[in-house]
Amino acid sequence: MKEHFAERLEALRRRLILMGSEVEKQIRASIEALTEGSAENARAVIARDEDVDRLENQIEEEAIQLLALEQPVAIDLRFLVGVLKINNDLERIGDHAVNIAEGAERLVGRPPFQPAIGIRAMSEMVQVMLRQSLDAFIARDAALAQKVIEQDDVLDAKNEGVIRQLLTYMAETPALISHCLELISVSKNLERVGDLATNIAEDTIFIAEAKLVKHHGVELAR
Amino acid sequence: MRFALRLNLLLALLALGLALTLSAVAVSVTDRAVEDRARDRLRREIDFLAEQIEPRPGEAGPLAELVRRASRLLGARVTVIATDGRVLDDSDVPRSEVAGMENHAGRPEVVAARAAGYGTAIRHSATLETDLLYLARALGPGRSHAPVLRMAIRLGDLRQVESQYEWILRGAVFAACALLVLVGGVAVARLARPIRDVTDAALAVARGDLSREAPERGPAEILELSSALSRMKSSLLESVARVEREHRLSEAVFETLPDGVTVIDAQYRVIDANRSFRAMTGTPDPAGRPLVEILRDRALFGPFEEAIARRAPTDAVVRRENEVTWQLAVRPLPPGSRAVAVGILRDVTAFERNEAMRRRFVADVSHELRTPVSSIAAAAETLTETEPDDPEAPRLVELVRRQARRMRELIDDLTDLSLIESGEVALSPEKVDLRALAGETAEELRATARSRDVSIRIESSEGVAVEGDRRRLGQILRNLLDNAVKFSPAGGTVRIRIDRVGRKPSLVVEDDGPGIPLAEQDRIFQRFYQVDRSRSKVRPGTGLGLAIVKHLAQLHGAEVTVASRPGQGSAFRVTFGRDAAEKEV
Repeated sequence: MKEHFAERLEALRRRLILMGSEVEKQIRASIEALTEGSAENARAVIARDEDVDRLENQIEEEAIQLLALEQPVAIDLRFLVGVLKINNDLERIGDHAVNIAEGAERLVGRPPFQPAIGIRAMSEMVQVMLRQSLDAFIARDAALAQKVIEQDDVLDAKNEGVIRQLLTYMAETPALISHCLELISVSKNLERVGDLATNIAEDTIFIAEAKLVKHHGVELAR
Repeated sequence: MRFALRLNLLLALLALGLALTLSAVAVSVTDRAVEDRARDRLRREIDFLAEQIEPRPGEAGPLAELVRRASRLLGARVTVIATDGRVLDDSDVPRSEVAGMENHAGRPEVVAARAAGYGTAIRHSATLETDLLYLARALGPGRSHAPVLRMAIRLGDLRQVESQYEWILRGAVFAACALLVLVGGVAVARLARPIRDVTDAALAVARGDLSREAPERGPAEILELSSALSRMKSSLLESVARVEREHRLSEAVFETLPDGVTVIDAQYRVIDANRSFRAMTGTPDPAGRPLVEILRDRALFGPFEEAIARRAPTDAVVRRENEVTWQLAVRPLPPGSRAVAVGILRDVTAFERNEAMRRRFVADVSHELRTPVSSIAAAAETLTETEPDDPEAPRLVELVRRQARRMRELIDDLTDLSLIESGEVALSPEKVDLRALAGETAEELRATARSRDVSIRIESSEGVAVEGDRRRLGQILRNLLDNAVKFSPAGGTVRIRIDRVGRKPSLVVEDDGPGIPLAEQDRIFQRFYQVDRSRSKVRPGTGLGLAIVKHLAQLHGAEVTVASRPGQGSAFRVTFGRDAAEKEV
């Protein structure tokens, strides 16, 4: 029975890792759709979101079942709770990928635009953060997770910079207002993905070290 | 000596038993011997003393003297007992007390002496209060009523002598035993050493140390065991060597396979992975790790789950980042080991790219052929419904002719290209003067150029020549020149420059057309690639010219490069490997 439980935990972990890679792909594809102006790629991202949602449901069901039937303690309990939270975070990252893809679809055919460079830098950073948070979860590497948490402030600053720049453009060139609004939305979505990657990193620390880390690395008393 | 070991043990036991028996016998024999000797001595002394006393019985004075002197000299108690049992004298009793001594007629030795002449007894002396050995002898002929001479020695003295002997004896027995133990021990040790050696050798084999030799000395049984062990070891070594050889072979094959191969267990953990797999996944040490951590892609991991769940082969083609394509084949393994499936990864990026190119090529050829064919079909249809003297007719005929020519050009180019690409073009090399070639080619295209108001100028160094096929070199130059003329604006000039770069002959065709964007410069040599498709109607071409130029140049060991900037014209340079004219200088 115990061994069976361990195997089911391992299978759950497998599913979550695959869910993570799936969401990573979604983010990457949505940004590609945006930079390459490909409506086809954007629609593919939107279509694949169903897959991500289904994966989320499967993982949630399995985790809840394990919680209820096995009544785990200590590390196993932390792991299951962490999986539930990370699962939820990943699903929301998937939703943001869809938002970005929808923006990309609306922007198809528009000429390239200067502030897009700031967004590209942000998107690269977000992808690295997401990758590292998942790496940290896989390796139970609290130090790497901490690194992700620390990057979030830089990302927030980048987001503010991009938005400020876009607002200036809007003021100068009213014809670009709708274009700029789309890009602002993309930027905000990316910033949210960064926040969720940070959540994943915090949950990883919770699993690995039984420490509750919330709100940008402030460790709570247990 | 087949039974040497058992015999050895038997002999050792026998010797031990013998030694023990002997020592027991020896102790009892010495006891008796000492007593006997004492008795013998006493007897001779008593005989001697009796001779001295017999002549003078009853003479109390000299008798007493004799008794006491004898006692002193012989170290024994001497008693003379009268016929009636009264003690006449006793050496160990003061003379004054002799008269008060007990009647000795009943003493066992006295009784025995009177009966048999001699009597002996070992008993406690009431007079001296100690154990004594008595010997009595009747004096004179009338035995039963004769006086009796008795001598006694203290048994204590005797025992002391005895015990001295016994000590020696005990020492000897002890020494014998010690010797036995020593010798036995050595024997046992000698016996045990080969056994221990064999045991050690066997244990070494069990531990996997096959270099240890079994002992070659010792009793026969051990030697037999030892040789059995040696045989076992050599057959084991042989098996191990065979298994190792086979393992090394399969390991070498496994490691050097160009495809990435991994073997996983039921928990989806990597049991083994070869070099290609490690390189493809960028995992230096995947053994023991969960496969999902290494692949981290549902498209790659899914086939493993499916193959294991359905116990059926599962294949997939997976597009990775950076336009890399992997083909994955997962095969479930027969039960019996902890390996449940093997996954084979193949990088099919190049293959896929070729496939895509081929598909695009077919599409391009069909597209290029469709335009003239539909023009011809339309013109032909119109012609059937037109009177022969209709003024439109010659125009339609001309259209058919032109489109047919275009199709032929296209087909010629395609044939050329496929011949060149498949390496079936045979060059007939000769020395070709580039300036003369440029002049001839320019002459061929002069009419076309004039119709577009484009002039052709040749700037050439003297005597630049290359070794090559004149017709094919002409084709290179014609295609480049044709392009240059086509893309030049009206009033423009196309320049052919022939010179040397270093010592390499070089041919440049330069125009002042619209130029080629940097991003597209390396794609213009691809088949059917045209920079601006919207203008291809204006400047009809097959889209194969530059591809043919590139391949023909390669056949001549030459290199084609382009230098261009949008709006500032283009320059195509063919650089040859060697100057043919130079050779003769």
